[in-house]
Amino acid sequence: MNLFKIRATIYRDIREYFTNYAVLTVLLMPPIMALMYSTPARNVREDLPDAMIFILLGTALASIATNVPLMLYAEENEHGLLKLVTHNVSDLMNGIAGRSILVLFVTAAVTVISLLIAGQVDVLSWPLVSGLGIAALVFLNLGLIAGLLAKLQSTSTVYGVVVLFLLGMTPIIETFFLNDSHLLMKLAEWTPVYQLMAIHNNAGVMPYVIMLIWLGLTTFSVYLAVLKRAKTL
Amino acid sequence: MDIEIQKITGRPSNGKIKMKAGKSLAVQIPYELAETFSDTMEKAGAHVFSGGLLYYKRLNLKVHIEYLRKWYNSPLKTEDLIRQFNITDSVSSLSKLNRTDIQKLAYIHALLSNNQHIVFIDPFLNTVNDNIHLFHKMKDQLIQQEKSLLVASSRLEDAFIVQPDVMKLSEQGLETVETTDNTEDDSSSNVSKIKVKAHDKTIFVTIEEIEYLESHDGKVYINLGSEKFIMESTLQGAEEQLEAHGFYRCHRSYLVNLHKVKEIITWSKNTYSVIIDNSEKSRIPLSRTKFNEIQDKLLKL
Repeated sequence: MNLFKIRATIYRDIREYFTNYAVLTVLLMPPIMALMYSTPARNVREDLPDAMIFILLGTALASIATNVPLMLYAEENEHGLLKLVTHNVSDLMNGIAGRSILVLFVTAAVTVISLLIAGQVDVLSWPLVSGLGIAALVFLNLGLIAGLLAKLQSTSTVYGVVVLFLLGMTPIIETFFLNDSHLLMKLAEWTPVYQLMAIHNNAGVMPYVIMLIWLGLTTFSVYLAVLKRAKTL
Repeated sequence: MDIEIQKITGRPSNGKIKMKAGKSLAVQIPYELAETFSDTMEKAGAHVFSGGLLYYKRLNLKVHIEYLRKWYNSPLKTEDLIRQFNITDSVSSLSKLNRTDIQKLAYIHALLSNNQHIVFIDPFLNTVNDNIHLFHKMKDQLIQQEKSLLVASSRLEDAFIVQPDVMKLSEQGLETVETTDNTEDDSSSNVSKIKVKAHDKTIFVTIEEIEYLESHDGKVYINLGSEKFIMESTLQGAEEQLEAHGFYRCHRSYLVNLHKVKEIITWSKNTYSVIIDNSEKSRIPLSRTKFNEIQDKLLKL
């Protein structure tokens, strides 16, 4: 790992965040959602239901940790920008490390801000924070996989939206009023956001195990994506 | 670093392109080999600057240079580079700047790169003269940094802008382009037109309209306007015929019409170009030994 290259990537990406309107929109989405969801509840002096809180958390993870690296890499691939300074796998890994560190930091900050806006920051317990950390890495990996392999910005947006709706906003399925034995409900129980809800409800160690399986599978997929992308540098 | 020519041309050859620290090479390559050449040099580990300009359009030049400086952990300072390369607008985003300014970023990138072997492919296409001067500045600094520089150009006259010693890469291999001067002189002619071939036609071209002639691959090409015609003669024969009409052999491979010369540019102490007064502002190599003589001829025209 080359610290200079990691720092240079962070330096460049910070400026990208402030000048790329697509990234700015995605960063603002969770706080705006938090405001929209919490206002009706505040008006009737009630807390947000758990499902809504976890939709908010899932949206923050999917919109920032997944979509930001996805959009930035897709744009670099479309315009051939990765070749500017990335000449080998080592350069690619340093770039990924720098981008990932910044994305995770911004994800954490925006998540906390969104919870503050929603008035739900006390939902954060140490078990949930550790679960959120693992979930953030999972969502980041999903963004890296899609971003490294995307050839066009336009098609990469499709992947981002699919992750956002299926994995970020999974608790929205509760509003379908399906039976617990329905296939969709069974599948939803394996998703990362549902593991976070299980951790919040003190479900023991199993949610962590499932999240670590997600992390292992997505990390291996990132490794394969890096190898494939490095061939075309 | 040695690169086998066989890998570029695909034909058996023992020849190698040798890039040495603190030295520069200028090579004329056929246009169709440019992409293979670029790939081969990249695989060999050189830092290749070719084709389109790569940059983050939402950043400004100052931030972009600073990013590259941090990436390579270069000791060079951003402010010094901005001043050195005459960058007037370093705060507007690159999407708002013109190609001339963005091109300077490539030169700065080459200086900041920690790769010891730098390759530029066709760096002078659509380049203004000011940037060519900056290219020479960059070249001098790269040599001071003990890096090796190779400039590959599809046009022979562009290769001569870099330095007087130019090599030529062909399917057969790498050979030095001869630059010894032909000092023979002969009588004038009374002709006002000369015969040239264009596809299946024979055309008679008015001598006054000819801008310059160049010798390439055993053929002589007449350039006028934006057209090229093949002349059925050697360059020496053309010189004998046209000298009385104000044509001057400024280089072993080039004969220019002095009436069409706009200016002479000095790129470095060994490299000069004659600029033709046409829409393309064609740059014709001028031999070092002819530098003074052509000026006398132009004054007496």
